[in-house]
Order: sequence, then structure tokens, then C-alpha cells
Amino acid sequence: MSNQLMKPFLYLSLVTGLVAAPVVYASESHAPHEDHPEMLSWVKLVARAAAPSSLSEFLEKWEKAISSLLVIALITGLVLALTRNLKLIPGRAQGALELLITGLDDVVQGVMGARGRVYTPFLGTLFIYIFISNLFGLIPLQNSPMSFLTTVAPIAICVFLYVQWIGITQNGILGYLHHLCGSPQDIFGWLVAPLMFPLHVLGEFIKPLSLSFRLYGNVMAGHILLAVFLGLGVQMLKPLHVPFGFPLHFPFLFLEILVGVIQAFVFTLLSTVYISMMLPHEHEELVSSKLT
Amino acid sequence: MEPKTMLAIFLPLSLGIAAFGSALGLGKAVSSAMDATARQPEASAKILVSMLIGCAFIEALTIYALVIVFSLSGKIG
Repeated sequence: MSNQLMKPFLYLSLVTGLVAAPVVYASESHAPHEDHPEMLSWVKLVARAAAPSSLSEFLEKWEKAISSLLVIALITGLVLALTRNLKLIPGRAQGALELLITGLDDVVQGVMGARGRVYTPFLGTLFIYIFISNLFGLIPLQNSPMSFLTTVAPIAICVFLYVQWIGITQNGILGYLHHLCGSPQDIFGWLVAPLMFPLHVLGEFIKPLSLSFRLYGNVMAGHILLAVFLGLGVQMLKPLHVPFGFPLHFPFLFLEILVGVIQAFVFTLLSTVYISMMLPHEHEELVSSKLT
Repeated sequence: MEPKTMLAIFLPLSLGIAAFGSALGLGKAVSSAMDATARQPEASAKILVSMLIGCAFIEALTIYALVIVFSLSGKIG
């Protein structure tokens, strides 16, 4: 990796080690009811500073909504600023955005074929939202909105409801139930249909559970890993009695970035596969080899 | 035996078993990805993407166990 790329990560980890570590240490010592060390966010910090007031109660209660609203505002502001004057021959920022959108389009069409174009906005938004919020969680004093189950579960529920809606509108209500019985064609199919129906219904309900727990578990575990290493870094410099810690967590920032990208991609890919399984298909291959 | 003792014994043990199983699965997945890359080095980007997706699925099973450990670990102390 070039020096140009290493510098911002170095600064990021130094700032996190210096600024956030004593904050983490304070949270570890003043929060005896916490089972696992967590990274403090600025919302919790402000809530603790304004301790017994209604503002602090509001912030503690709405911390997760505030983080996710911040990410949404960031994405919206960024995209609005970048697409202000759309030119036919794009500049750098517009070119980067076009690269992202065509990449997402290729992924969705690789799974679903050309009819998948209609679903690219929804799936692309999923990817961009999860990706940006995972990157957002690496900023010092900031928790990713995906590290709370309260923000991850609604996305999974949205995907679940959208997939069922697509099933009902594309196949008709009878075709939807037919699909849920396992699409029986011959007599053997119809014989085991009463057995397949509860299995498929259960499978449909397990999908949002597994989607949300995969994303939440990965991001939460990453934050706890960072918090543990921040605490270790602080305790390393304890004999020196200085108010900051050693940035021991530096390599794990890269792991966090990798995990964030992979989890966003897996979430989007799985949602695409669920949608494509719900559409009427004539026993063709689900994932083509154009997946790049 | 008290419930707390049993939780304290079996929660880390369950996580260890989940990690062991997923380590075996990940080793197999990465090894076949490396075989495929050695056979055809120009397809290494596609193989890498498929390998990463497969690894994310296998990893997710251990993460489920980790989430259960976190949610139940408050009952120990």
C-alpha cells in the first residue's frame, strides 16, 4: 500500500487512540452493568455530560436513530452535491458515482438477468447505506448505525416485506401460494405439498433473521474488538500517567473496513438472490457466471 | 449445579465449537479457491469474489453463536 493511502489511516488510528481511548476507559469503569466494553459515541458522551436532564434522556433513548439519521443525511447531502450539474462527459466525482452505480447494476443483472434492472435502485440503496454506515462507524467517537439491532432489523424486515410483495404481485396470489408449496408440477409434488408449505413459510421467516444477525453480529463484534484493543492500549500507558493511550487497534481498522464492505455486499447479494428466487423462473440457473 | 455455573461453562465452550466448525469450513473453502486460482490465474478476481462471499456465509454461523453469548453473558455475573 502506498504512503498516500497509509497516512489517513495512521491519523485516524492516532486520533482514535488519543481521543477515544480515555473515553472508552471511562466508560469501562463507570458502567458496571455493561457485559462487554463498547466504544463510546459522541451522543453518549453528550448525554453523560448533561447528566440528569431531559436532553440526556432524549439522547440516550434516541442514540440509534440519531446515528442512522446522520448517515442518511450524509449520503443524501453527498449525492445531491455530486449530481448538481450532470454533464455528458463526467468529471471525477460524477465518474466515481457512475462507476459505483454501474457496478451495482452489473451485480444485480448478473444474478437476475436483464429484468433485474427494475430492482437495482432498492438493492443499490441497501449496499450504499450499509457500506457508508460501516465506514462511518470507524470515525473516532462514532458508532456505526449497523452495530445496533434496532437499525439492522428494519432493513431486513423491509427486504422481507418487499420480497413477499414482489411474489404476490408478480405471480398472483394463487401463484404465490403455489410457489410456497414448492411449485409442484406432477403428482409427487402435490403429494408432498402439505409438507413443503410449512417448510417454505418457515424458510421465508428465517431469511430476515439470518440477514440481520449476520450484519449486526459482524459489525458489533468488530466494534467490541476495537474497544477491547483501545482499552489495552490505555492500560499499556497507565504507568506513565498520561491521558491518552497507545494506538494498538491500528491493524483492526483495516479488518473493520474489509468486514464492512464484505457484509454490505453479502447483504445486497442475498437480497438479490431472494428476489430472483421469488420471480417466475423456468428452472434456469440462479447465479450466472457474469458475477464479477 | 446452578444455572450460572452451567452458563459460565457452556457459553465459551459453545463458541469454541462453533469457531472450530467454521474454521474447518473456511479452510476447505479457501483451499479450493487457491486450487482454482492455481489452475487458472487469470480468473483470480472472480474466484476471490466468490470465495469472499462463501466465507461471509460460513463466518455468519459463528457470529450467530457470538451474538447468543453476548446476550446471555449478562446472566453470569
